[in-house]
Amino acid sequence: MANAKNTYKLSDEDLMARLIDTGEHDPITELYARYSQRLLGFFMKMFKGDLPKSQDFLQDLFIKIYEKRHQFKTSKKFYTWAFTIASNMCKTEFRKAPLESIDNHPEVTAKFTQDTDEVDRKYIQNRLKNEIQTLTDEHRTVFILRYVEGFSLQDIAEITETNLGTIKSRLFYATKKLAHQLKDCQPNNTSYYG
Amino acid sequence: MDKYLNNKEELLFDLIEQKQFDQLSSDEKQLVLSLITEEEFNLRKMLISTAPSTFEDEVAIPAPLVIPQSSTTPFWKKPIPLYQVFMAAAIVAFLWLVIPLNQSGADTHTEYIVQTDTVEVEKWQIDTVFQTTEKPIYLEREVVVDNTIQPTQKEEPRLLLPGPSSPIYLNENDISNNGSSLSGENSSALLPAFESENIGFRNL
Repeated sequence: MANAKNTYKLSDEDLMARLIDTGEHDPITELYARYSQRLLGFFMKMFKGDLPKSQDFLQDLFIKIYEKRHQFKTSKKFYTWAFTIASNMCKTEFRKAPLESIDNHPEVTAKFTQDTDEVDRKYIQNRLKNEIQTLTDEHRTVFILRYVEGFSLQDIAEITETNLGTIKSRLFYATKKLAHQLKDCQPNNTSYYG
Repeated sequence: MDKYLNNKEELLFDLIEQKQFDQLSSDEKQLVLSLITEEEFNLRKMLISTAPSTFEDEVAIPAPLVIPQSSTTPFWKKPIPLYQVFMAAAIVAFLWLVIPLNQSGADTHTEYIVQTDTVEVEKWQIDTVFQTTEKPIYLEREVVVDNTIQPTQKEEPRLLLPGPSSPIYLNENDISNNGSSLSGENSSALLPAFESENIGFRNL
């Protein structure tokens, strides 16, 4: 039990190594404490803020991590591996039940009619959040991973199990589409956002 | 399916991520403006810089982690490293070879088993004896039979017969009658008994 109390000192990969060796719950509990918040946020972004669904997916994700712990290579980053599983779970879910189009929500589309002179950071954030949900699953995933979660292009290629060229292409066209949708949010002072 | 970016588009992608429009060199500006307008460049730049704070208000507290009991792998389902399998096999092989040699000494258990085996063999031997006694055994052997014929009748003893009724009278002058009788000889017993009538002296 003395070792269990020291799990917070270990790196993610060391925790996974201990989890593989012992099967104890302490390492997975520590990993959950470290990343559950961020992974829950990822699921919520992917599922349009559906908290109960995101909570379920978070639980399932860590159960998968626990069950498939022997597939983890300690030479790789745990964080990337966890997001790979999370991304695959979302992909599977989107295949089963495609997300309802955001255009069907009048409360969201109503915001689009607001006067562009009142554009401020908050308004743009809300607009952007809603427009991100209109992207295709592939575009939304890479956009969130890159510009919201802050992953490197190489990590995203690993997480989505594609190549770098595909990631760049998806990001390019996702940004292009968002810019087209948010054309009315043209910034007057670009340095404000830089 | 998105098409792959050409060189210009890829460069534009990198410039949007890395620089403000004002920071672009003249060549870079020329390249950017050949693809998009300055406003669109700034808009895209603004979108990707705003994105990290987009979901700031969505703060949710994760529920406590619950790992169901069924997820806990029982020990017999736990994967075993390959080297441990080989080590176990080597230990088993070693014990297989070594243990019988070590038990060659006095071991009560081993002796008991041997005694039991002996009893079984003994029963089998009794049965064998019983069977062999019941079966007739035919043996061939050569028997030498002495076919020599032995005389079955005893020859009657030959006795000297008494002399003729009329004595032979010899020349009394030439023959002296003073001889001794043969019956007085010791060897006369060896002579067969003659009857008087069977002797040549008998009257024909």
